[in-house]
Amino acid sequence: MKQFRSIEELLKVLAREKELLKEMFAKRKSLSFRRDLAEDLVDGDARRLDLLLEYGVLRQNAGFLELEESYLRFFEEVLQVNEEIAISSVKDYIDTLNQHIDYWLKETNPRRKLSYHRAVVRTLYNIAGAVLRSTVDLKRNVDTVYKNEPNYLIKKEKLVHLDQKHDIIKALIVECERVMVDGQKAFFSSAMDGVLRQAVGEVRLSLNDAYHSLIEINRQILEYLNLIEYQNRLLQKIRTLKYLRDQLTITEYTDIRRRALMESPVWMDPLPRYRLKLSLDSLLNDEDALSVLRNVVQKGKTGAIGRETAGAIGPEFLETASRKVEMVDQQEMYNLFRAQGKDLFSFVTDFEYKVPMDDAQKLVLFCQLATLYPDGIQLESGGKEHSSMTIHEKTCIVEHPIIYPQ
Amino acid sequence: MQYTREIFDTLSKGAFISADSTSQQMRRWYDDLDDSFQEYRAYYEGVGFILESGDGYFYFSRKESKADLQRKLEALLRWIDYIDFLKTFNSTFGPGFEFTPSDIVIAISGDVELKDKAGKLFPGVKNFSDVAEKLTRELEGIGFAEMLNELEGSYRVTAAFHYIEEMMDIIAVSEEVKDEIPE
Repeated sequence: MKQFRSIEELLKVLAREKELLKEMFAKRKSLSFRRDLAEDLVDGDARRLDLLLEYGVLRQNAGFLELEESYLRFFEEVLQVNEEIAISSVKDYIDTLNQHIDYWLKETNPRRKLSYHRAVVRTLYNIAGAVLRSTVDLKRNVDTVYKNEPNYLIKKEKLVHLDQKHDIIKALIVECERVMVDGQKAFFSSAMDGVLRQAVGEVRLSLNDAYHSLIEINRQILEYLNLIEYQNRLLQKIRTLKYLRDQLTITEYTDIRRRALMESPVWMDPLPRYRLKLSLDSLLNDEDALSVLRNVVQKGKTGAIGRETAGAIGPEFLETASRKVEMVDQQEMYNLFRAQGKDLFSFVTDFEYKVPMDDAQKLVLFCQLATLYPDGIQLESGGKEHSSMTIHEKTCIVEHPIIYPQ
Repeated sequence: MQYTREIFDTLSKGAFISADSTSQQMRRWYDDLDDSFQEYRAYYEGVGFILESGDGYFYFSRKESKADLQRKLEALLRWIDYIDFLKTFNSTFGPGFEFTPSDIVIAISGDVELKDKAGKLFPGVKNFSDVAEKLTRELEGIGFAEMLNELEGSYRVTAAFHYIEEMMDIIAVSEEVKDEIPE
């Protein structure tokens, strides 16, 4: 494997292939970045891809390409999107710190002593940075795992694992404090100058912040674990209840009956129907009421109001029945009258009817014929007669005109 | 106490008001209820309703129920069926969960257990998309789920769902059968 000879060369290569690296970093979780796709991103130049493989920036695996672990971790950590929390690096820092302090204590050359002094200060800042970064990573990962992990068992495992990381970070903070306060008392009292004092102050402040954040993270992890536990218990409970319900023994083996008696939420009630009488005033004066009335009328027309519909018509009403009413046919009488020579009154009174006719009926028929056919009759001018008739069992004299056919 | 009428209209029909509602109006009612809980409670007590509060939701109950024991038992048993089905559909089904009725239909067609449960959920309803629609309507009607996007037909489970979960949780199961029940 080739090595980059300088930072300049490394940055130059990375900058040239930035499109490819950007794309591969975005797809780092899919693990299936095809080589031909990668070639498109390096302008179809296979040699450039080979160069990246030679320098160990990429790794090839049966036609698929991956970012090399060290570069992947570097990008993730710098961009703060890492899922792995690099606790071990914090531990390394503390070991390094102790080593540099030891070298400083043993070194007699003032120039070299100064360089170890500087190394201690730099390591202290690195420790603070790493602890803070790990804390932030932990917080982000706790949230991500709880909100995005779909499998309950894995979610629980991951949270327990993150809780262990929390313990490690916490222990490292305590350890670092111990080194600064008690562990290396000789160094921190004899080598203390302005720069070191400021570094110790800032680092302790940072560690203190991280410690407080860790307390909160721990509370959050426990809360999430409890929630998962509650959800698991609930799931189990629901399955149990369903099992007992299917076995028809739920009222026997649970207190559901007592619970139903105790609880009276409105959602269990039958749906309420409030019947309100309309105000006559508003019906008479309100514009809206008018449209309501129109709707009601419209519903009435389409038969929507069931209460007002009549019942079925009985069969007795559907049978055809006949009634015989005997009457005198006026047209026939008129025709007969025209065919003879007597006056109308004599004709009507003397006619031999098939039905019995009293004088009153005959008088009515006379009037009807006289008025119904005015064009077919002729009144004798000035001529009138008086005839005796029995009307309603009373004998009376009837004055009538003398009418002949025309 | 700005929304006494609107809140009454909703709660008296047996629905819930949730803190995480998709409707801005309902969130406003929730905030007002939260701010003046005691006042609202005293106000509705006068008309025979007791304002109850839970973890992110409000609902009405009564001192004396209008429903008889049989009806209440049936309501609880019905919800045991629904919740069992929904948790089988997705064990994370709970407040904040988003779904569409077609998700449920897809899950039913790919899962024998769910298929069996779906067939028994609503008597007479055998078509799976009808089952999913009907179940969604039940959830929406009571306020346990709300439409999130009309175009996609997606719904979100509200905080009021905690109520039914808590209800299931407090039902005590006899010790003697706990061991008999299969895992």
